[in-house]
Amino acid sequence: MLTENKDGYNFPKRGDEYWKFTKPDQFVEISKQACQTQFQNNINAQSPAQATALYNLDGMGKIEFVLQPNELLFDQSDRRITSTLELGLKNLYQGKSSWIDDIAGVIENRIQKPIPRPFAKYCIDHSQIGLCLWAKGEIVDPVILSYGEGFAGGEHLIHNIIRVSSGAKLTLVEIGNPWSGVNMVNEVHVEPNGEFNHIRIAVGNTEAQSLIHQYAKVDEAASLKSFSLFGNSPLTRNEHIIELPGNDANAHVSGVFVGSGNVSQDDTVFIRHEGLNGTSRQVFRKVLNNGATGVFQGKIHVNPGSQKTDGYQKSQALLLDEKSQFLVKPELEIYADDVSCSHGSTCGSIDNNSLYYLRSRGISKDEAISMLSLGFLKEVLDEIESEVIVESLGELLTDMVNNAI
Amino acid sequence: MLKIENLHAILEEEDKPILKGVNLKVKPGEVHAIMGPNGSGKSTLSYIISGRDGYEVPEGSITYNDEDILELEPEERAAMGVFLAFQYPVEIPGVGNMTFLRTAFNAIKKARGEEEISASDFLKLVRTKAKELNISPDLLKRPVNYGFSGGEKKRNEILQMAVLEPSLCVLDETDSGLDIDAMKQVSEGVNALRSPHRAIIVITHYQRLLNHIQPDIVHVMVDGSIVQSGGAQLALDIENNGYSNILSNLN
Repeated sequence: MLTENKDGYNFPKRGDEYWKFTKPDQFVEISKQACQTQFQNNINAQSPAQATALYNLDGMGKIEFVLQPNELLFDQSDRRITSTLELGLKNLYQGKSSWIDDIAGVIENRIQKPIPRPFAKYCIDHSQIGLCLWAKGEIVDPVILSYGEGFAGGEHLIHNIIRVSSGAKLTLVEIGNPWSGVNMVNEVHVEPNGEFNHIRIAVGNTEAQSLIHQYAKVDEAASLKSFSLFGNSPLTRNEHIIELPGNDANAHVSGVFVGSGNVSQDDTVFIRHEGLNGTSRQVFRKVLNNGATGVFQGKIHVNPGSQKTDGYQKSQALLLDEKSQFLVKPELEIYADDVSCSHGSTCGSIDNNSLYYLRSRGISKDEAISMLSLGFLKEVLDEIESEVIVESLGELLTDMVNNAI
Repeated sequence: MLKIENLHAILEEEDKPILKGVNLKVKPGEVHAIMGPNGSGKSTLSYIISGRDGYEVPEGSITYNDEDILELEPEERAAMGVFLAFQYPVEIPGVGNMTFLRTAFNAIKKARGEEEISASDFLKLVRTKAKELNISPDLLKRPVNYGFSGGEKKRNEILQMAVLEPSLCVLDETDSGLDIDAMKQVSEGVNALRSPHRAIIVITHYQRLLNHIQPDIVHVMVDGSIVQSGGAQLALDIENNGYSNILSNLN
């Protein structure tokens, strides 16, 4: 049940559908606090994002932006930006550019039924901060969006609006979680034959509490691939809400979490197939230690008539101690009769035979556990389109696993 | 080098005695074969030498180079030079074979207080060894044993042995699941590792492996203890007559 509060937003309460495993209370506080304080931020314009040091992309071509609470830093002389990308800050653009008005609040609103998402609505209505990004052609180099130190220590509402034109291609890498709390929404429209590859690396701040939504509309023969890597923060909820109205549309969402101690990370995914021949994949793996909690809630929804849909969902956790837990709610909701959909969820400890095998070759117990955990997680990296990015994540993932053991 | 005295072992999970007083002495340079019917405890003996969990040793001892190793962890034994080639090498998806080999190699070097080797030098070393053993470089790029054929898995075991250069190699039914050609290749790999400083224990059901790896001493294990030892001829006798003569003598 949802309760009407004085602001008119029916924020969920503990125990509501899809809020049984993660408590929403903290996100209500973060959202309201952020709304009150977002105009009072001090700007620290030159400081780089915290996570860039953790994530080494040196040596590869890239287009870089640093988003601060009311400023966007980038190299204005970069010709790649003027030729293929249109961009700006949400608070400056909104109401002045029709393409933004076609997306902002619209993509999210399309899918408020059957499950309303008041946090996302609240963010969209109140956020003054965010990047508007329009890919108009094929952009070869990844676009790196780092969240700057200006977000550190505060609560924020961030609303990014992303458009990928017909036939265009965009790889967006979002880096950092410097805030103490965030309610963030990405609204994405991938137009026919467009390709949007998205990577989120929310690592580096062990105090962050993050509620992140990605709403996407994926049109005919278009493709969305989104991978997220979450580090050891006390509370994270990562929502993907994707609709595939076009025929032959494709959505892959995947993620990795490494958690140790009193932390909770929740991936909640809702994919709605509305066209013919759609494909979707959900692949999530978590390594949990010292009482950490991992949550996965995933649904594949197939509309009546969305024949030949191919949906796949798999969530897996490796529990390194007896106190850690993995809470899952895998769902299929299918109203078409000629589809192929599957879901699976597994939860287990380190395989003793593998552990013994590695140790018998001279590898210490801790290092062997680390290798096996890393091996378990690395398979998810196959979901990422760019090999360069996969390679660049290896060291970061190794550090994360070693820190958790 | 290796001295096993009156070794008893119980499988903890089932509270079942498996080894009931094994005695065995192995000197550097020797090749021993241990044969015996199914369930006689041959594999258990190899596990206990290498330090697998799940067994209780109520009586007896294993010393290696005059050090009691029963209380040591598997990795400590590996650092001392003990190596078990598994009957069923474990598939480890997600862990690259090369990464695994280098980690193992450097872990052993580190435990011995020796200098670790650089990635490029290690690559050269492994490529040379792989070529000698006729192992495809592709196997090095794939995850450990993952999707390997039976023969590839066993050759990968021998490659690890060649790279880690242990002083005691225990081969647990290395011939199982191999066709004649693969068995020959694996045997050649083992023979290449024979040295006056290295001992090899070959556990097998069949004499045919011993045509390729000539043992100095053959032991017969029955119901948890070694009941007969002899020269290479003993293996031929078993091949011709089975274990029935030995079993009836025991009775």
